[in-house]
Amino acid sequence: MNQPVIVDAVRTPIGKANAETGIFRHQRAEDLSASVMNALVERTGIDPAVIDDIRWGCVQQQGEQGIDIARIAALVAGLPVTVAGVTLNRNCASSLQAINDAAVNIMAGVEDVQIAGGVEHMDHVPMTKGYDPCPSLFRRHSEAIMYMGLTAEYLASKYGISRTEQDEFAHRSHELASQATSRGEFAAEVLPTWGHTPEGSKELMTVDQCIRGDTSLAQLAALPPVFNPAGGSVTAGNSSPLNVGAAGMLVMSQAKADALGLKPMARVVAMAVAGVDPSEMGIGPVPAVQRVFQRANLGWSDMECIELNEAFAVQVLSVLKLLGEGTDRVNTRGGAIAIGHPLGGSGARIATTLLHRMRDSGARYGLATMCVGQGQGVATIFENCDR
Amino acid sequence: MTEALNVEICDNDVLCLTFNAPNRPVNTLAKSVREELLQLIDSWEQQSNLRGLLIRSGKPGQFIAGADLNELASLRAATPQQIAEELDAGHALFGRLSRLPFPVVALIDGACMGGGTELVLACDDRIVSNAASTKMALPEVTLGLIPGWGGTQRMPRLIGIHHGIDLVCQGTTFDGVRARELGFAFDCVPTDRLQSEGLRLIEILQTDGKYLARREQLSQPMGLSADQLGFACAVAEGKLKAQQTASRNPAPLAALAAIREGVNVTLEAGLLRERAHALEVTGSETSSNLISVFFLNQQVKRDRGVDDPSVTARQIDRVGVLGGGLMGAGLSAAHARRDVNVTLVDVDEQRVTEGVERMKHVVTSRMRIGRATPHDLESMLARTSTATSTKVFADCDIVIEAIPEKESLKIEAFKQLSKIVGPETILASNTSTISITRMSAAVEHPNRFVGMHFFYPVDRMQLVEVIRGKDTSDETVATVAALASRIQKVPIVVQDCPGFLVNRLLLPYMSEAVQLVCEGALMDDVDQAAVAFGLPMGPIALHDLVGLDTAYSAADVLQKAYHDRALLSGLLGELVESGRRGKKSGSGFRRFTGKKGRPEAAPEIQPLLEKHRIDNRQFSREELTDRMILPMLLEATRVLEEHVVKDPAHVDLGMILATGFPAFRGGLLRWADSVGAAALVERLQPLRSLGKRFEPTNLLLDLARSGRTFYPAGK
Repeated sequence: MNQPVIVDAVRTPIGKANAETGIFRHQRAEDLSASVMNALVERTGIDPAVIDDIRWGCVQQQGEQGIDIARIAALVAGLPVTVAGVTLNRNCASSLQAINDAAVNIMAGVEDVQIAGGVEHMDHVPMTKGYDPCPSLFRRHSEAIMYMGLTAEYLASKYGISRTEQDEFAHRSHELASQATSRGEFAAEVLPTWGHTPEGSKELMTVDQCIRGDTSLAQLAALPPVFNPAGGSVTAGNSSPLNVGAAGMLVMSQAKADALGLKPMARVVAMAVAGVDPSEMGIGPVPAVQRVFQRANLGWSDMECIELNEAFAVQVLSVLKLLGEGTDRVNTRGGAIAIGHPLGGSGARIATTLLHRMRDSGARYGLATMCVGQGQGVATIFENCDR
Repeated sequence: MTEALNVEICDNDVLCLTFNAPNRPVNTLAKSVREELLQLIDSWEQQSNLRGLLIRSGKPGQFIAGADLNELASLRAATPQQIAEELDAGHALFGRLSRLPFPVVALIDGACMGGGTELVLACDDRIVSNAASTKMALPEVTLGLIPGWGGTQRMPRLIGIHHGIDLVCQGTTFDGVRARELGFAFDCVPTDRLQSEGLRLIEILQTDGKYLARREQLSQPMGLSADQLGFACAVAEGKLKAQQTASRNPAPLAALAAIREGVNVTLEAGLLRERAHALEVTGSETSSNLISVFFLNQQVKRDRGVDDPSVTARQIDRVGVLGGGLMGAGLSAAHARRDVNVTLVDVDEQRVTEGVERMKHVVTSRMRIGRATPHDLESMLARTSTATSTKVFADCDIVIEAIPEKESLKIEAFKQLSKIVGPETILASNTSTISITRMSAAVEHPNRFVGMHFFYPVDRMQLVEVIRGKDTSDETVATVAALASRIQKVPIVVQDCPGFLVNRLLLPYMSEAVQLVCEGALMDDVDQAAVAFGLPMGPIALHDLVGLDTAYSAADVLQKAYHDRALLSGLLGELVESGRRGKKSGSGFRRFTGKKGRPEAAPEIQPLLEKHRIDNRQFSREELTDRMILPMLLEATRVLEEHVVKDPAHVDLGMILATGFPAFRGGLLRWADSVGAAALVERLQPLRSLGKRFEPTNLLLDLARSGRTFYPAGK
């Protein structure tokens, strides 16, 4: 079996999905995707003709994200027409799935050199656009399974996570992300990307827009619950925001990397998916992580770096509570609550941050995992090639 | 006994049971009808040779309207024992219907409500017509009740937990297409195919024989996982609790409890949970008040506006509207949306265009929430024509004036219109404050002059005050009332007087609130007292919403007319002068300068407040409530004394529809009845020193002395 490796991983800064102030309000999803693809080619110096396929995650595949945005963006990027492209959807884990699928192709000896990643422009193509669920889905399930905030509220009551714990975790996320930004820890992974300041000047953007280093526990505590105003605990402050961004990585076999003289960042060690009840979609990482550990014959303590996507503070805290683990080693550069959660791009975003953390700290193993709307979890273990 | 049920063999051993109550406009499940049905079931239970049963209605556009209204009315005074017997009888009847030894299919064409829906839920399957009149619902919660004949158990078992909760706990109405989509009905077909499709379905059920297994399955626990049931109920509970804060109606949560406790046990055990929760809410004060409001609606809707039965309403083919502003466009849309031809006139092209844009906005904003279709927009516009000259009003049957609220302007306009319109045309004014009798002097035929007072926003407010001037004819009143009903508004005929009905009662409440603030009460406390009583918002917030200038000019009109009691606040006047006209101007009693336009305290008005301060004392919530509600009530008794409206029902429904007076209190006068006239006189005693506005009226004193009530006992 071929060993899949990641050669490079890069992302745009993450913008706010806002038509007035979002840094990418005048940038399209295809263009953001194309800039990531081009950056991977330029940073690694490969001949783009060697790329077999592009696997691109995207949730709302309509409008500017429709008609196979993987292929459209490859053409926009000016990659050779011989490079194929497929768009895939596992909701929030779409681009982590793209990485896993690329790895599986390599292991199976099918496609070799691939770009895997994803994008979401939640301003231009809102999450709720064209919402039209099947009525018979709701025979056994509340329609609230389609509203992530309500599933988060359910976790809070089911697993007894208090408002204070949630706010403290959200505060941690902003604080860590802010510190990482000012220490330049994102410099290697963030691709300076053209966007507009809220005031309207076009500039090369390098900083994630939603990080608020100045937020305080008092400010967070003052926010009203959004999803259950009468007695809820999930607020705009302890949830991930709506975002715009793209992330991607260059994946190939170890043998190919050797042949091209490239020095990979990490090996893909094991992958897993799992299903849970849609009403508690946020705990999806629990069975996914258990399964991936079993496959890798590794455990939580082996993971020196962990990226657990922060859809909601309560969701991360529920996962950790069920796994019996603490927050150390988890999202030490902040998570989606501060950095943002551009759905289809988030899997590749956390994996990108993970690989750069691993390289910077010399960690051997790293885990990327995330929950998925309607009740799924995905997990991937990487191993540092320098160890 | 005249029989409401008719049975015939319609095809090949398939029986057809037709509901057709003689001499009644609708079918109900009155006790007599249920007894007839029980006898038929008795005779069918042993007849396994029958191939099937179809249930239908003999009344076009009406299936089964639900409970009998007299029986519904008597629920308000029923003992728990009587209620329990009714519930048990219904469970037994539908239980036996659901176990007949052959498949039973309901063919639903027309309204199928409450008990009617519970009856069809006990059948093996349902086919519905796609006619516009076909509507199904379990509306019990809107009357403070819960479905008590199996609806809380059979609905979620049939269509699933999510939609089951929605339909049962919100009383949502659904049509034929939705019924098929939800799995409530096997199919949705044109009315003329109902019978043949019903027979075909009986054949399908007989041939595959699966209906017996389905009966078994539907009588078993739903088998939801703890998360599925827990999550669905937790989410619904959050939503219902938020609604209950405003409605004070405990029924939706009781219905939810019946579902939560009932769906994961057998149907038999579930029905017992339903029974327990039905007993909790039936006969409660809230339920009894909500039922009373239901009857108010029925009574007022039947009212033609005139007592003389020989008077008939004239046919209206085209309505002219003068003025394309908010009200003009709103009432144009209200007519055109209900297929009444409208001619909208304003002074120039630009204003006409703006008027049409406002009309479109009414429908497009409904389209955004799924309450209207592009077709509705097209058909409204197809009914609308526009012009910049009033000459086009020549062929209108009625012209409604909706120009700015200035008497001289309006009189000038009516003088002109009077010359243009045909000899039979009715002229109506949408004024909210100007005397109809005075304006009628300007027109050639004062007998065909009338007030037609719509409320803002027209598309959402159901009430239309039909203002009868001194010379307005019965025919004019009947015609305008019929027109309002035709566009699905509720007309209430009001004799011309300053403030008409709604503003005459509302302003004393609003002015008293400002007075209280000047006496030292905090604005937030004043508003909270009103909200705690059940009003949708407090009076200070209401000032900011309707506009301080509008409130001031209305108060001014009332103060001039009722100077012995009406207040006109200097504070209000100075706030208006300083440009604080309420939310529309960015500030009023509070300010609205934040990003989301939410009200915030406005400390900058403190100097003005000090200037108009009369006192600086503290108020209990009870005192605040009495100070605000009692002047409104006393004005209502004066309205009755002066025969401004026909009876208490018109006062109560008018205030519920126009001001959001809490339905759970049954209305202003119904609330007064529940307190009692003698107790009210007593509560007024300490307030007498405040002046005439707290002086009990003769009507109230009469009731207090005789121990009678505004509404006759038992009504």
